[in-house]
Amino acid sequence: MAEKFFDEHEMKTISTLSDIIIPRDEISGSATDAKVPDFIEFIVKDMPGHQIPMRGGLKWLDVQCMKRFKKTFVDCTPAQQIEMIDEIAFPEQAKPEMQQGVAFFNLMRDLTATGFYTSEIGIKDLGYMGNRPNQWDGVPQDVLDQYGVKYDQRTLEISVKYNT
Amino acid sequence: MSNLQIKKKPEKYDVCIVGSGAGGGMAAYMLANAGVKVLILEAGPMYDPAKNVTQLKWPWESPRRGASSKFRNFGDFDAAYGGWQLDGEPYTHKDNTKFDWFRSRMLGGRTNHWGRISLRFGPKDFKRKNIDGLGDNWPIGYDDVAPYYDRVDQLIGIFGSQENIPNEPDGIFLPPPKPRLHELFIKDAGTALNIPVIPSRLSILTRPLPTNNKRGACFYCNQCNRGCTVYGDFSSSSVLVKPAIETGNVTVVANAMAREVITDNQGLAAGISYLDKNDGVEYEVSARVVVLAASACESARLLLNSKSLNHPNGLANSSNIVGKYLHDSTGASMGGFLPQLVGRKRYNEDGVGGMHVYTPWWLDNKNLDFPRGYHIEYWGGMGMPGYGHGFGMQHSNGKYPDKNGKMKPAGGYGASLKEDHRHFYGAYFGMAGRGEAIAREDNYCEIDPTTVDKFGIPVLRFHYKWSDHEILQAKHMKETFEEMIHKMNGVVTWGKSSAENNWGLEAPGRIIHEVGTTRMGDDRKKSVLNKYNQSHDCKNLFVVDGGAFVSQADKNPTWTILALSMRASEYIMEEMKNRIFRHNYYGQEKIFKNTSGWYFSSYRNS
Repeated sequence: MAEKFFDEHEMKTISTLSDIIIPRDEISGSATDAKVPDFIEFIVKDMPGHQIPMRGGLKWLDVQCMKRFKKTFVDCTPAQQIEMIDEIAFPEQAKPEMQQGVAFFNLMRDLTATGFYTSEIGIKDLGYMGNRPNQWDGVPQDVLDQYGVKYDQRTLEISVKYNT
Repeated sequence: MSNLQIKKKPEKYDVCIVGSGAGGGMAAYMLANAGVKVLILEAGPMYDPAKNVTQLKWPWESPRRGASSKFRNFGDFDAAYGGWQLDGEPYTHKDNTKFDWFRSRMLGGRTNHWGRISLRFGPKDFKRKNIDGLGDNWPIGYDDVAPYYDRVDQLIGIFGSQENIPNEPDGIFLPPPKPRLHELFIKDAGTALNIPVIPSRLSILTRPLPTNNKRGACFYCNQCNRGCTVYGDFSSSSVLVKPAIETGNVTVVANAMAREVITDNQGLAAGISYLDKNDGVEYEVSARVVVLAASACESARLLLNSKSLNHPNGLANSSNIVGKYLHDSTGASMGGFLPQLVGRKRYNEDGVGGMHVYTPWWLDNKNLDFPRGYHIEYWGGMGMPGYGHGFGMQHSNGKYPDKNGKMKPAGGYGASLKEDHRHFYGAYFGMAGRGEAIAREDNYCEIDPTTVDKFGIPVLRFHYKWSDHEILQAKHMKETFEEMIHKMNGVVTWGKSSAENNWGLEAPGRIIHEVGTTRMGDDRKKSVLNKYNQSHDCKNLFVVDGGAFVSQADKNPTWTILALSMRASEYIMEEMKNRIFRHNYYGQEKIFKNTSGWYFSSYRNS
């Protein structure tokens, strides 16, 4: 899909927002390291239902920043950006007049998280250990012990055993 | 299209099967192995899970990360080539009712991506009218089908455990996998509430089959829905149609959209007319016997569209019952979060492609305000992320302490949000009820008088309403789920519902267990098929998909479709042996003795 949905300014805003949502830390890289903005560009073309909420939300954000700081979001200082984000990132604390921004940020948080945790960087970060051939022989003993549960005798007798 | 013409195929077949899913695949397998010359018409492309591989792919290998799309409703990696809507193949509704129709157009049909939940119907399930007075009894009972269930178990492979529950007949099982951690919690909660939680019964090979060296054992990737490269699970494409083709007795025409069953001047089935989507040409092919296995609704559609002087009402429809008694399983679900599982230790808990435990129906409806039961399916744990993973964190992270034991406002961003994603991973789970609906004459599909699809074939129009029987059952499901979740010290995060939304009862069709449209019975005025899946009106016509079901039971239909198709196939062979079916379209017969010692007539090009 060579055709672009977001323009350069929108993509820059998406990149900045996604790295605020998922920054680099001691365990893994950031959203842009995981190419989350490219994923968002793709998915809004694939799922057109995201297009208006994303485009309109980005515009809403810029208009809010213009009112407050006389600058678009990406031109704001990091401190100004965070001041703005703090208004819309906490749904239960946000002011009534910020609700459209909350809805947009929820969507942005969702798409960023899903783009990140379905990337190679994100899956490694989560520690998902499957998607490879193996022989399932039950919950590891130390985990059973941790939760104080065990397989009853009948389960042990009837369940599949390997190389016995 | 001035040169539109219908080409007659010179090849002549003993049996023409329309559709290659569970019913059609089994019929092809049985007949081909007995030396019968079989033609399969499949509306979709060829498919082999060993060649069309998505198994073990990572989410980032799909630009949409496995998300669903318009024509791949279950996503990029799922083996279903199809969905609730197909391009250019609409269906319509009557009286503002709702029915969602899932169609997979591919060799093997919907068996390529199904849940592999393989439950036998029990003795009561064939005779429900005797118990509650509703619906109708089947013309057969459990004892008629049990030997076929046994053979299906051995041919295809299924794991499970011997439980001796009266209406949940045990089978010939491979050993089941051990429960996962959340499944142990579910089992404990069930035990405390007197709700049975037993090993699931899935057609997945936890060990290689002793009689089959072409299929490998499960290697626990949890991805049966993607199709298995080692054929470790049951798909009709890999387990039935492929070996059927290897006998040399089966021809498959892929991308062949059946239009009508052709009948001769005596009203017998003579063959099928179809559109070959590859070359756009209309063909007619002749066969001594026609077997429909196109799915309950598609087979009904084909019959209703096959009108002739002898069958003005559509073929096999002198009863006017074709399309009626359509019913799908009920479904309702609820999910939550297990606080004791936050921050859990990572290990590979993929397991098989589905639950390791389930709950069969456990109560007596005599004591309840709804007549039929349901079973419960479970899921959860540390699965592979796909599109949608991480959505809605603001609904979790404000409710529970974080990694450091601190409460935080919901939502947020930054390093602490990343911590929350790690913290909550693997703590979510859910459960769904799948119940029996009452088959009713006024739930039906019929031909829409004004609409055709892009092939010019008149389409189906659905009329379907749930009754209080199903709605009150869904209410009971929800109450049970909530009780289970609370017993596990879990928190319900979605799926709470009320009378206003029918207790979350899914729209009919959503569970993809639709059956009943060509039901069997002893009374030819009230049924389409006899007890061998044979048309009352047209003796060389059979329907071996879910259409034959009189009632659906609180089980998944596939194992019963397979058993009945196997049974019907043997009946066809017996009838052939007795020379009941003669070819009535083209001339010459030749008799030969095949390896199984049975005599069949065969038609060869001179």
